[in-house]
Amino acid sequence: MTVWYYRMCGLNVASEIALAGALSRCDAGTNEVSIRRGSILHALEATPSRRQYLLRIPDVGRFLIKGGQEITFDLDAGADERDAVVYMLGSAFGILLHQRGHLVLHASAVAVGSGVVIFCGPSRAGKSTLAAALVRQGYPFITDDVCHIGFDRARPIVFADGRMLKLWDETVENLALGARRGERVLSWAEKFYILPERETDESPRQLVAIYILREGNEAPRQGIEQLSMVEAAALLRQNAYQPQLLSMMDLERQYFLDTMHLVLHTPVFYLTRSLDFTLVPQVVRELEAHWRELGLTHHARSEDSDVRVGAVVANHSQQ
Amino acid sequence: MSGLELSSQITRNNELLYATVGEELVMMSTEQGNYYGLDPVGRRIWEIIGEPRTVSDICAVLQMDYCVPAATCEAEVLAFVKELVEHRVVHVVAN
Repeated sequence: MTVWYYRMCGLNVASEIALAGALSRCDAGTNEVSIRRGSILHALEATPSRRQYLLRIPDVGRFLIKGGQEITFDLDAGADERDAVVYMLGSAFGILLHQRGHLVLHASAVAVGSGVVIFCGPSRAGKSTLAAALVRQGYPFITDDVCHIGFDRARPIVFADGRMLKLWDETVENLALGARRGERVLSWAEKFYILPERETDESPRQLVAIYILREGNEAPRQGIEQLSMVEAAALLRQNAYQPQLLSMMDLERQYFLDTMHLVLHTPVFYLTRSLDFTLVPQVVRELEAHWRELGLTHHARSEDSDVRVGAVVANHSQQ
Repeated sequence: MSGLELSSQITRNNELLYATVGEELVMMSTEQGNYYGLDPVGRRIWEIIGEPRTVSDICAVLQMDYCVPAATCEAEVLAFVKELVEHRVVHVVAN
């Protein structure tokens, strides 16, 4: 049986299915995660946990994710393997990272200098478009969906997800990336892999800034605005990869403490802008000016003092 | 919770997750998904009520830490604790 070896989200993966869109390889026999074909009993009921999680995708198949180490997949008759791979590397891999107790955000990321900046937001918030526009300006691509953050001696670091950027056809056209359009991501959607311009650099890099994406008409003013620690922590909880998994897997405490480490070491900003494609270059220029201003250096945040004496300074609800 | 008085005994809601970040304390209610931040004085009050304490007890400790007249301290702590009770950050265990 053929086995493929990949490097994804900082983990070495051995897979019995070729993973379309994967960029980097690891050596055989060094895998920390196995992806296997297998039959999963239809009657199987698994309470979601760090030990096991049963993911069902209608018309695609079922994925049993165990112990943060193994994904067994059982495809429905007639399912397109390409579609299965997308769910495998999105949802299933995100669940696996949670099972390992890692901090996982729903975010895109690019490298800037020796560090990484990330962009959080729900689907359709423009994460991939912004990453693509920055990649087009020469910033190395890190991820557009699953963002695994680790800690190296308390400093937050980001692992590349090891897959190609994925863009809707409309975005490919608008950013003039047609020459780099690769295969279709899903059988049923106009979404395509974007072939990388350069070889990916797998080494984890320090996280230097986090932007929470907002659409311009949701806020009184556009631009970049730094968040208080409480707001930042609440928004990072909201932007966890599938945040409902945290309570299911008894990870709330771990995630809370990890996000506190994150906001202590990394500034978090709102980036409020219009989703209009014609304004993307302007947003890129604004970000570049902000990075010059930051010097892309490590920002300790202990000096923040936007608090009132003896008062609850913020009550940030999750939606 | 209008019944909060200086003699009311309060304690932490132990369901909250919390972490000190610099001078501040950040808390999260896993039940409601809300986040709260306390400044250094609020953080000090949180430390004091690790065991049930009356509002008067809290004021007595704060007056040792900070130079503040008793009446001002009591009024501000009562208002603050009332807010904490409303947000279910702390519980009144006895009046």
